[in-house]
Amino acid sequence: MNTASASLKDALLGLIPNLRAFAVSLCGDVERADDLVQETLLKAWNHLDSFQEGTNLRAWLFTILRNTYFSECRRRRREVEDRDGTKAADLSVHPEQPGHLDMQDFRRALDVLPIDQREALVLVGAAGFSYEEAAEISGCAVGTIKSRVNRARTKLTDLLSVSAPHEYGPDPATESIVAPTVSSGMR
Amino acid sequence: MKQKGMLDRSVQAQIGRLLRDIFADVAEEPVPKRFVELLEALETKEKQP
Repeated sequence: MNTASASLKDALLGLIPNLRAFAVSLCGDVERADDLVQETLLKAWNHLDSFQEGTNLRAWLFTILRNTYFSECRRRRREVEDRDGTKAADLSVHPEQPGHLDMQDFRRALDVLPIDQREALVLVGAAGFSYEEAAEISGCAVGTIKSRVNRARTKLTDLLSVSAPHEYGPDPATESIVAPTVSSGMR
Repeated sequence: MKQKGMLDRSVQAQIGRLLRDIFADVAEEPVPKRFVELLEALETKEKQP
């Protein structure tokens, strides 16, 4: 039993950074994320009998974490509604430099996505799970994950792409290269 | 139209990169002490009769 506990402890320790990253992407708040991770670790430890040796421990932990988060959200319904894209209209995420996206812009844009889309996108695009694994974690069909990911990407593209027609042209840096040398008055 | 398509591809590539970057931002942090202590406490409890 000692060996089993030691190796479980090590396995869990190794997965905590990933769990924290996933938790932060779900709730947006490091403190709340860490509380979520704490609950997840306790549940995992206490329900090890329901984990099948040899299967994906990481996926199992992610499943516990997201289920814990969603049941908490059902209790705190208001927070889910807030983060469900209702703030989209107020939020301006257009980057200051056309074509350049920084992490701040991106974090804000990500937070605007409905939770199911954000979850799917993070599982597949950041945490490195396959669509099948993501579907298992989220408790839905593979097709559902795919459509959530597509919708997330489309929404992010809309939020982050420059929208004014003139911005589809060359940026100032390249413009000075392509423009004839005589027309220096263009700037 | 072609330019718009190219912009979208470039945005998609950036999205992918930023997604991994913001995830790595947290995933590369050391394990907070509270979790090390939690797991050690759980392991200790397990060893007790």
